[in-house]
Amino acid sequence: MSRVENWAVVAAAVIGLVVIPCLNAFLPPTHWLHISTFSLSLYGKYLCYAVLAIAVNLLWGYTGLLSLGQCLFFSLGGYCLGMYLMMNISFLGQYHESIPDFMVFLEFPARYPQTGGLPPHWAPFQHLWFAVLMTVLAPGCVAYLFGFLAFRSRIRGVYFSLLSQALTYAACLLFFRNDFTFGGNNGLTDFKFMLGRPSLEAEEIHHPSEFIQKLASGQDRISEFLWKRIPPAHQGRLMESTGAKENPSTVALLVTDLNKTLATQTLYEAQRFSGVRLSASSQALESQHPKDAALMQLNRQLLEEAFPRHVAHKPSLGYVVNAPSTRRSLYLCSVLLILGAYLFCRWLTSTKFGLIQRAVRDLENRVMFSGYPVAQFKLFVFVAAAVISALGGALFVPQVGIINPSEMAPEKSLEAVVWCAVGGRGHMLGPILGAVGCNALKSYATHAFAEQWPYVLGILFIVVTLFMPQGLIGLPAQVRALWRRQPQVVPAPQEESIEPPAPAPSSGEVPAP
Amino acid sequence: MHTFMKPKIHLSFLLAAAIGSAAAWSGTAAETVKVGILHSLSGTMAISETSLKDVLLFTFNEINKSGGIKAGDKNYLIEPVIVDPASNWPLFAEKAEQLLAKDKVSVVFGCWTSVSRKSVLPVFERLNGLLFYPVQYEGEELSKNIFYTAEAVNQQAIPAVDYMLAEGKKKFYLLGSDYVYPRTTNKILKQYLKSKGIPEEDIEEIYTPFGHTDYQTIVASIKKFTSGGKACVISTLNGDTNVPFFKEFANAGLTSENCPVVSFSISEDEFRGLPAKDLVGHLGCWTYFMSLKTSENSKFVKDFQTWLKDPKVTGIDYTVSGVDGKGRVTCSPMNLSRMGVHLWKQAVEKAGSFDVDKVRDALIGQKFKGPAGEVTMQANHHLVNNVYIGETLATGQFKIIKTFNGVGGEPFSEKFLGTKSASN
Repeated sequence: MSRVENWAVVAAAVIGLVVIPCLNAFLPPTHWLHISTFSLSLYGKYLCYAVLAIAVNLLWGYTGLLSLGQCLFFSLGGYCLGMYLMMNISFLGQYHESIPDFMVFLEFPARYPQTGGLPPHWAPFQHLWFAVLMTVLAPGCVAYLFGFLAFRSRIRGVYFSLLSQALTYAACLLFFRNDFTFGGNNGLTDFKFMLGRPSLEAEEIHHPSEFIQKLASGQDRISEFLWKRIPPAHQGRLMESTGAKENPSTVALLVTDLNKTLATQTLYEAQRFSGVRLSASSQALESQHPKDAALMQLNRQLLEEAFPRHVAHKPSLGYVVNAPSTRRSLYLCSVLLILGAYLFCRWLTSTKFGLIQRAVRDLENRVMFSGYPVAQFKLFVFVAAAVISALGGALFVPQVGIINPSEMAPEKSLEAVVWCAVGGRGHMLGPILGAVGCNALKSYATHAFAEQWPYVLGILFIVVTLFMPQGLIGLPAQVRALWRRQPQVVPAPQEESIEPPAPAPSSGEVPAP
Repeated sequence: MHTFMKPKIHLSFLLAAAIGSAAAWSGTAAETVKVGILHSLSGTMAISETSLKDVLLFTFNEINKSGGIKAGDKNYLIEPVIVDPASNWPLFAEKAEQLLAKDKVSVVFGCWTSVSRKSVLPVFERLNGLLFYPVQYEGEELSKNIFYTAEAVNQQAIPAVDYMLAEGKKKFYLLGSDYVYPRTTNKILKQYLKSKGIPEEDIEEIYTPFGHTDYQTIVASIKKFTSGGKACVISTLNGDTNVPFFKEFANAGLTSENCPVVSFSISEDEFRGLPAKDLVGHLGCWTYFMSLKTSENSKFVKDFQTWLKDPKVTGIDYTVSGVDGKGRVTCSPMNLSRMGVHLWKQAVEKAGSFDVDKVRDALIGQKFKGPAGEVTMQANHHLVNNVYIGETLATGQFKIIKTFNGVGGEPFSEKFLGTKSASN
């Protein structure tokens, strides 16, 4: 079994990492083998769900902890990365402000006047490193705290399941509240950039007084165009500041107004840029007539080229979250993540730790009386599973484009348990198979049988739970056992029953978890 | 609270679907155009959104029966593509992309909740699709890829408050579920009321979580609030929470006489699952009521009821299934869904093409005489519509008591608060 499994994993890794991305990137869309970016993102989403299922399996299948709240950690990871993406919408929201839309209409600028409406705990999330760190730390800490209290009080079995479900439901209700500053019911959505953004920052303006004078003079058409788009009241304030010492608030004003123009206008016009030497990359970009996020990147590049002395060159203008190449990279990250999660769990369960883990699952009291600190073992597994789930959630969000509190609703966590059961718990590949299979079927059925799909999926779950106790992954062994048993049943001479049967009929079966 | 999987297995449905898809393979004679329906048919929102799916299919049938859509020199019959986003917001985005990228539909009718619209908006903008959104909402959004046939705040909340002011009400209790629509509506209403001279202390603003059932303290505070008389409640409570609220309200001895409640989220369709008796006398405000006495409306209601007995889409091989014909009514979101289809059809015929950019341009200025009077699509992608205020009857219907003619929807509150309200 193990050798088959190894080959299956290597084959899946090659297909996932090389074949599928190549079919997407290099084949023309008309080719019958072409995989569309839509499908690719869909696979990425399934893989993120599969990472969640791996975590559930690590808890349920290997440690006997049935967590019905695993989606809490998945969502927390998603929220952390979602906050990073929201911090980089870079003036492309409905209101064209630096802060996310929901903060504008919930009147955050009045609540947090010092930061222009941004709650203080949001500010560090503009850095990817911080968001990734929090993706690990926030769910890890929540899991540690909850696990510490639950395991120290020896809460087990069904009580642990119920508590974990209550925890995720409580969090769901908390995140629904608009006062909680995470976007309430609408959550976080409409992401634009990652790994950089094209908006101007205050420190990127050199010689601001001179720059303002140049814009105001209207010597060239670009200056004239940009100056006209600054509201008259602001123009006055900017002009006043040119003689005096440089004031950070006027630079901030200029930057905000310029950013709004970059986000909403098409800067390029042949006449307007007749006196500017455009770089090859700008020309190439311009010829594609970009829109929305890509247009802003072009605008920023054009601004730099038109005012090389005043606007700093930004090495990375970020990647557009929705662009096919970004989505391909995100998909690749998902494949790498699931490989990592799989290898980690496989390694963990093969160590002595894993042995104790399974012993806890099967006979917890005996392990405890043998002197092992059971609570600490469980706590470690619980925190590890939370972090794995959170990483899956973090990659889930940019690929589906939304995270909101309903992802924490108890039924989502139940779904993850169902994937595990369908695929086969207590086996490394089972949950992956279950998560990908169930979600692929759901995607297909909600389109092909839009009005009947709950029945289709319902029948499948009933069949699996009734007739396939080992899930999909146990099916081959089950079939083999059935096939082996049959010829024995037919001849079955009576004297043979006295002797011990030579081949054990259930030798091919995986031991029940 | 809501069951996802119904234990009953309807084999006939499966069979019908199988036959339907097999028939679709055999090919049809006339030219067809694919149109997407993106409404939840399972999960928490199914109870509301299934009605919109039904009325859309009814409208497609209506159009196909009268010869389809004439684009250029050809006639096209509408072929519905139904997907079920299952009240799951990430799934909404996935299904939207599937409709646009895989099925290549010309237009999509769908979404109910704001979060579902927010979820699909980036998809429609990226793939340059066209979405018609039919349910009253909070505004503060304007996408070039979405047409909002829905009531904006100034077509529902503002007229309702104007009516209350005209009735001599001086104190306003704003009660809502804690999500974006009530928050935004109440924020706008507060500003509006202040501009009308209502002092801050006579406006109360309270939010309760989703699925909240304990309204004892809130009703007690309303009772205190109404003690001086001339008070009313503006409710943006959504769905199930209305039942315990109105029960408690009646128990406390409050009536529509001493403190009327205007609700923005309860239409005729909600009364299929909501007991109407506790709401009798309280008010609703929409751009359509089933009780409207126009010839277009009586025809719409009659045709829809007839269609429910034998649901089908004429002209194409398509089996309609899962339509429950019992006790059905029409309501504003249903009317606005239908308006959307007709406006789109007219725009396609004017543009002579299904091309999104051309249809978008042609849509502006389109007029249609519907059951609630003539509607006009404005350049801001919202409708000019008549607004009605109705009094709830024990039958779950509304008696129309006030009409505001030709109110133009405006998504951004600063525009209608800055100048004088459009409703006067």
